[in-house]
Amino acid sequence: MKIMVPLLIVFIGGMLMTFQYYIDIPLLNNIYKGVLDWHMVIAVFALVIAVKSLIERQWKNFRQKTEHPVYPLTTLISFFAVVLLGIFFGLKQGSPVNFIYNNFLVPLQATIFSLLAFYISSAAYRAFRAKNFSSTVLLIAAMIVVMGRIPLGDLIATWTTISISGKDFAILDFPGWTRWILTVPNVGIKRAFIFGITLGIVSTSLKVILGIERGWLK
Amino acid sequence: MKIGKTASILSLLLISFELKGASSGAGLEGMLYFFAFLILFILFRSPKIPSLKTREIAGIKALEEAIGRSTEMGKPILFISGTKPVPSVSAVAGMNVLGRIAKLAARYGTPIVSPHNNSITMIAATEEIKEGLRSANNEELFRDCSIFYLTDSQFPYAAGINALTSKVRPGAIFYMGTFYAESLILTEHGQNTGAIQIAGTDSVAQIPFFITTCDYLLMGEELFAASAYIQNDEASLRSIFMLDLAKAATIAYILIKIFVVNL
Repeated sequence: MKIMVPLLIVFIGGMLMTFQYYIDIPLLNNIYKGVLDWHMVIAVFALVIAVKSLIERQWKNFRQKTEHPVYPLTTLISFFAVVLLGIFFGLKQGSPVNFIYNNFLVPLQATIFSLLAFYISSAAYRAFRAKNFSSTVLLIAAMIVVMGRIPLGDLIATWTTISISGKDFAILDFPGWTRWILTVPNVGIKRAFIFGITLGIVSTSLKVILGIERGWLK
Repeated sequence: MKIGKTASILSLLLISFELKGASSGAGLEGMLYFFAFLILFILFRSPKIPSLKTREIAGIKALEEAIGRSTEMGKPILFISGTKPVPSVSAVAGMNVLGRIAKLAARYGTPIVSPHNNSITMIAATEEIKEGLRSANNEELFRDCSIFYLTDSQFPYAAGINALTSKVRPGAIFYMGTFYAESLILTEHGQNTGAIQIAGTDSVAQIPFFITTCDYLLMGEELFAASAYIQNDEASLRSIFMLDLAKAATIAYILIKIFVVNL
């Protein structure tokens, strides 16, 4: 009973959601909308658990007198300050929470995002080494794409353009080669991945719906 | 035989209704595809089909090596779930891998540190780790484990994990699930700490970043196959075989359609 009831709920729910995706029946559409509303309600309760976990962990870190107690303390003060400011002054344009969001959170997020540029450089430096045949192919393809994406690549293509029976032909056509690499082999391989992933998702979803996959019952 | 007949009648009944995605091409074809898959799934549960063998997945085989190395170094292991929360299929597959990691960690007595960006995923991970430790008779290890919520936001989550990686200095880091732009920020930093890194993702755009920075990678469908491979029961193994069959059938369908369209 303890296992059968959840399995039955998942089976009925899964099949209903599948049918409503493909078939236009008002009853199924209403059920779908109801499920989405319930999902939002559950998400609110989940937020309570998240807040509890956050406060507990930061308080524990602060009390244990770790190397840097100022970090958990900053987190706790910021958390309660934003909650209280939000309750008393609201979230509208020009409110303290709005000010904190625009002037603290957004620049901090942008700072972390900008780190990506440096990490891409260091990862590329490590990846583009001609150690074997495959990595040499990768290196050559990467160099072509780099050349095709910078103004120098366009200039080289212009300098090496010759005219054969009235038609212009670039000997070192980096932009053209780049276009070909990005639209033919790159897209082909990407589609193969998407193809496998989609089938994997359908397969795993079916396993859950049919009760073969029961990991979530733990 | 009964299943085949029921499925055929059901399909015919469904076709008689108005199809939602008919104009976008997701209607009839998509629905038939789904039901063909469903029938295959049911048929392949038949006990008449002989047992199947699967090839080893390098990333899964390396889990033990990574946890063993972490144990030798006396360091914890770090498990990072993806940005999509647990109802998503990639997160469910990731949780199955976490179950395997927990079992191995329990055997070696290595604590697990696992920050999350969703409380439902956090609860699922807690249960998965508890179950793994229980099955390896090492429930006491749970007191040394640290499973907690960090934040929902993408880049603060990445910053928090990087800070944690610098502080804890784990011997092994596992990334399982769907990742976006934060993937390289996490893995490049993880690599700088010298940890062995194993990732599994269905995010096509992030695969090159994971390949560059991680020691092993479960690419795309391998994450879902790994989930079945870890469970190691007959039905799960058959689902992998069924997946390959469906792939072959789809390739054949695409080739036939190309031929028919260009005729």
